[in-house]
Amino acid sequence: MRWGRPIRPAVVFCLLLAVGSSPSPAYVGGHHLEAAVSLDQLSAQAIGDQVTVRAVDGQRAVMEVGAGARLQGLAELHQGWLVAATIHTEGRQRARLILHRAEGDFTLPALPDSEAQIEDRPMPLVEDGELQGVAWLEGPTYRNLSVRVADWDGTRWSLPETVSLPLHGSQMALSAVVLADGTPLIAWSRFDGHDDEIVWSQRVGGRWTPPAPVQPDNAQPDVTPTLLATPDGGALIAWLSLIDGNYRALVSCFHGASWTAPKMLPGLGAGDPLLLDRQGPVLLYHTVEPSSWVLARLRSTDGAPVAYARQPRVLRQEPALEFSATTVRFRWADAGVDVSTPWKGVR
Amino acid sequence: MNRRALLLFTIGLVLFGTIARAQNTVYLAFGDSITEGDFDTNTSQPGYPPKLQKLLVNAGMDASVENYGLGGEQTTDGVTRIDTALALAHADILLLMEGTNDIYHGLSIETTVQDLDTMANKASDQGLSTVHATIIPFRPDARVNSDNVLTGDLNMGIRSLALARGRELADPFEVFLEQENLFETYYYSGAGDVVGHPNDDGYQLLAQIFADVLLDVDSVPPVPVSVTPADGLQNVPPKVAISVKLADFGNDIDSSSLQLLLNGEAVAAKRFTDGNVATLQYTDPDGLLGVYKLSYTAGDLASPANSVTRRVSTFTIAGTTFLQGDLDFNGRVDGYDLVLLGSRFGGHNGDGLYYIGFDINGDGVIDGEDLAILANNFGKSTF
Repeated sequence: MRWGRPIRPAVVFCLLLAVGSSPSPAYVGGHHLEAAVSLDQLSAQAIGDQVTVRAVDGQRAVMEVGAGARLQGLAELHQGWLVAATIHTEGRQRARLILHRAEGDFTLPALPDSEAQIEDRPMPLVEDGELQGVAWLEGPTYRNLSVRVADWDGTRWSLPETVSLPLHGSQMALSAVVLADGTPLIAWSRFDGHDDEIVWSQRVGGRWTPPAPVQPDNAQPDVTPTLLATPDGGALIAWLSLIDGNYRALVSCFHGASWTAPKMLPGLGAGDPLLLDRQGPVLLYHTVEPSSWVLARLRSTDGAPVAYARQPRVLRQEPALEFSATTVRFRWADAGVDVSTPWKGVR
Repeated sequence: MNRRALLLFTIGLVLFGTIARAQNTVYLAFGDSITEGDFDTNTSQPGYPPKLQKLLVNAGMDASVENYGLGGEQTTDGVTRIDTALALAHADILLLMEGTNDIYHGLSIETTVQDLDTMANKASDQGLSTVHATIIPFRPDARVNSDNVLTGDLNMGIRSLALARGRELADPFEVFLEQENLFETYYYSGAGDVVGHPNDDGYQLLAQIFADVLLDVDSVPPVPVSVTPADGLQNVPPKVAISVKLADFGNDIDSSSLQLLLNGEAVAAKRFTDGNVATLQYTDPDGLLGVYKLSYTAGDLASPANSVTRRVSTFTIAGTTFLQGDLDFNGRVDGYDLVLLGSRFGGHNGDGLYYIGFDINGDGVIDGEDLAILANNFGKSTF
């Protein structure tokens, strides 16, 4: 499997480069960097109605997406690059998936069977460089979104399945991956009548399992999950949980049909967690206390942190990053800040 | 000056400072860039806090307003940062306006409201009272929430929180909505603002809204704290129990002013009024069919009274059928549908012009055949 990774509507814009590769442009935007996402070898940024995708080898494509384009996902396929976005059209928010190939850009058909006011968080499901399907949120209002999934056969979408209807309130922050055995796994935050919980579902034997909580109900908000498939066939999930009056980053590991007890990472006021595969799983997040960007290298078998790299959060903007086995380089190009920090092992 | 005189002078200074400090009311303005003052065209004193301080001082108060706004902050960050702010500001009252960035970051309204409550509780533990504030409308060209449905929903959550906890509320959302040419007059118009920040006039208006609350001036009419059916909801049962709960954070509600309106027509709604809270309830005895705009009219007992008529929801009844060509689902095929079709005419499935909702016959192209279907139903209504 090549891409079984989370593609979240990222707040973070980071550029993750292999050591020794040629420098790539560092994008540092203005406010609200939801307009940018990055993967190991690709990064993308939405400006106006366009999305610009760049690869570490210098390739670049500018794709016309549509009015109010908001970048939600990015994937590398055998056929080219896939951008998932939402746009505003006819007073509605619609998902749009565009495939960039050498011969041109192709807009995939509209999501099937959807006349809802809102389509949000289209998350491509990609296995071995092939688009397998898409998961998304859909509904009349943000507090009434369903979780839906459709398969892609190369030319059209299947009729969608509804994995989760709205129950007590909001369903948000959908994340999706394809596991090593080819089965898709999705997770999102769902209001249970008292607070948000992280729930998940997996397609087993052609059917989606009923949404189930990643951990027992804790009566505190659990939000913004991010998923990453691991080579052993499992997956990691990271999210934020309000614990003793502060949001903390938690990581849990999926093996078959259950999740391990979450491990808590350091730092108070954690935000915008993003799991990435960089020669092993890495979690990027920021903290308020201390005011830092944190990279945590995680053990793929259980999600335990094995090393950290921190950098003071000197600017609001997210840094561009390069990292290796020994150091992490944080760059804020606009501010001329360029600092390398060594990984520090966990004792 | 000898040592004794110096000691007495120092003690005097300390006493004077203590007395002055005791008389001075310190307000901690906590929030995101809209508190910090991003895009304020008055760059010397950006944001509403310095303007609010001036208004309070001009009104005779010995007050200072400390700006603890931080651009880009979500409430998930705020629940931690507020600990430091509370420790540093030594404030008496917390002015709390945050949540705009949550909408961009996949956080639910429920979590945002819970985070705001956590912050207010932390302030309460330090002896501060809290004035909650609704967030201002997003610009019409914002990347998300440009219709402000989500903002309206979040603000109802903030009002409900303030009401449930007995806290004061400043309501910039309601006041901003009342302004003519809101975005042209009160919002930053330059490049780079993808959400909607006030300009100098807008920040001045924000300051006035807070000042009115702090000076006990009631300038806001009753506002909605919950609405059923929610805005945008479809497949609503014909005999849905329509309910609008209102609250006034200044004076009591004038029960005689209350009206519930469906598509602009007053209906025989039951009214329940209890001081500054009122609920309007209505169930159509015959069942509804079609698309409905739900509005209310309400006023308060302030002098002069604050009154308003406001639309709070548009919903569609289950079983409502739409004619082919009724592209905006308003129940009739008319000139606006023709305009919509024209805007996408010639679009093919896969290109940027195509929109599946306007491909009436579903053949993958928006062309003369779709126009013919629309023309055949032109002028007809279904409800």
